[in-house]
Amino acid sequence: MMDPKDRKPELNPENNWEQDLESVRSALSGLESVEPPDLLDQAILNTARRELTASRPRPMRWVGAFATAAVVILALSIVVQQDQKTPDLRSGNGIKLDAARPAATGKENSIGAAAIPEIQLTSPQSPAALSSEEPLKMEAQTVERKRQKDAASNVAAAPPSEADHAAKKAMKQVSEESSFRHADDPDLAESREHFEDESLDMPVASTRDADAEEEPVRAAQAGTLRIESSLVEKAEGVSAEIMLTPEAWIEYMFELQKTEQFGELKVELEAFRKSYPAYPLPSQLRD
Amino acid sequence: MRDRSDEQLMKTYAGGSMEAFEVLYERHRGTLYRYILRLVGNPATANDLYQGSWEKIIKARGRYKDTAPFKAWMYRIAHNHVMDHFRREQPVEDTQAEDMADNQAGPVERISVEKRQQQLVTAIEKLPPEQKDTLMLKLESGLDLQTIADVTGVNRETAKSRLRYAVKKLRQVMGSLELSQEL
Repeated sequence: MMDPKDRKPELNPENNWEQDLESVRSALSGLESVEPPDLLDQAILNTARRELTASRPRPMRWVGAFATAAVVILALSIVVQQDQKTPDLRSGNGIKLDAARPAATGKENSIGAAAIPEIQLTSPQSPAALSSEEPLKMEAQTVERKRQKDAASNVAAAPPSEADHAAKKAMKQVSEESSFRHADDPDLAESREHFEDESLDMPVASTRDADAEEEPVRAAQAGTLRIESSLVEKAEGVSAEIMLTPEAWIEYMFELQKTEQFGELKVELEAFRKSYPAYPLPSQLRD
Repeated sequence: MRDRSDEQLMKTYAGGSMEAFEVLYERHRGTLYRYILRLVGNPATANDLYQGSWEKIIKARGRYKDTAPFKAWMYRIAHNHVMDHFRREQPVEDTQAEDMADNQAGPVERISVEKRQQQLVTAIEKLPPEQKDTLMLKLESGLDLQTIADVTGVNRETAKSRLRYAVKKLRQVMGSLELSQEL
């Protein structure tokens, strides 16, 4: 009987299976090396490339289109808004009276100081519409600065007539500058002339209070166009607002009538008739 | 790029480098293809399974962690893909056993070296799928037993046992061929 140890190693798989494995390997190594077809290789490489491309973050193409659309919409909305809300300066619409000012300034200036009525051009429209009034604001500030300087040195000490003259001179200078600046804008120029015609005909304050002069500057800097008229004065120290439109003026006079400020109402009526002689007054005011 | 390890290449490919994948593919295309071909026997099926295996590898690139050996990971994917194929397909009765018996019984002088190799291949194809899988993983990929066990989802001893049985059967075929040749 043959001992298992005497058997050939390759025939004893219990102990020599690894050698047998090598024999199998060497037997198979002589086989022609089998390779995948080239087309298969190419297909797999293409798949790998495609997957890689697909996994890359796509460029956000919608951002460009969205940004363009947003810019167009924004531009259109601004244009439409400006068209709709630009005040018609020629007709005077959109300029309203600050009704709160006269009484307050009248009381403040009632003792020894002449009232310094102010014209408040307050546009009810949006800030976009205010851009057309920007030159007026700048002019108002310029006027106020000049007037502050002049008032500090000359006007306060000068007789009333000289002060009036200085004020008129300043206003004319400003209007000239304004007309020069806006010579290319017929609307603004015409509006300006309209304003000057009305305002310069008004009487001018004879004396000024320093506080009353500083206040319009602050108001103008705050964004509200307040032009100290210095064109309307009242002997009683009652201030008045210049009505730029007959309707607003009449409305103001109704307010005076309601508050039983008949003295002031009378003055306003006279000024109104002077400014708008052909404009029909309501029957309540005629009496 | 070519001096990098498989793991580095795979991570580089996952990071977006096609060149890394090309190097990686070139390294493993032959062995993986032969592994699958020996398992399934049919070149057309092997092509499909080979391509499918690589597609799975490509899709799973984001989940690959370079702490694991790439080769084991790749063969595991291929192994699972082939096993899925075996599960889907009904086992086909192989008539080649009789052919092999006929060949074994034929004249020794007619058996050339090439034919011997071919018969060895046929014998491999006739192995049970688990043994064949383990054997081909060992022969083609050169993985160690533990990795083969990990790839095939069994413990090390089971993998070793499967390998031993496979080698034993092949050795018997080789012995009979040698004996026929000697006779």
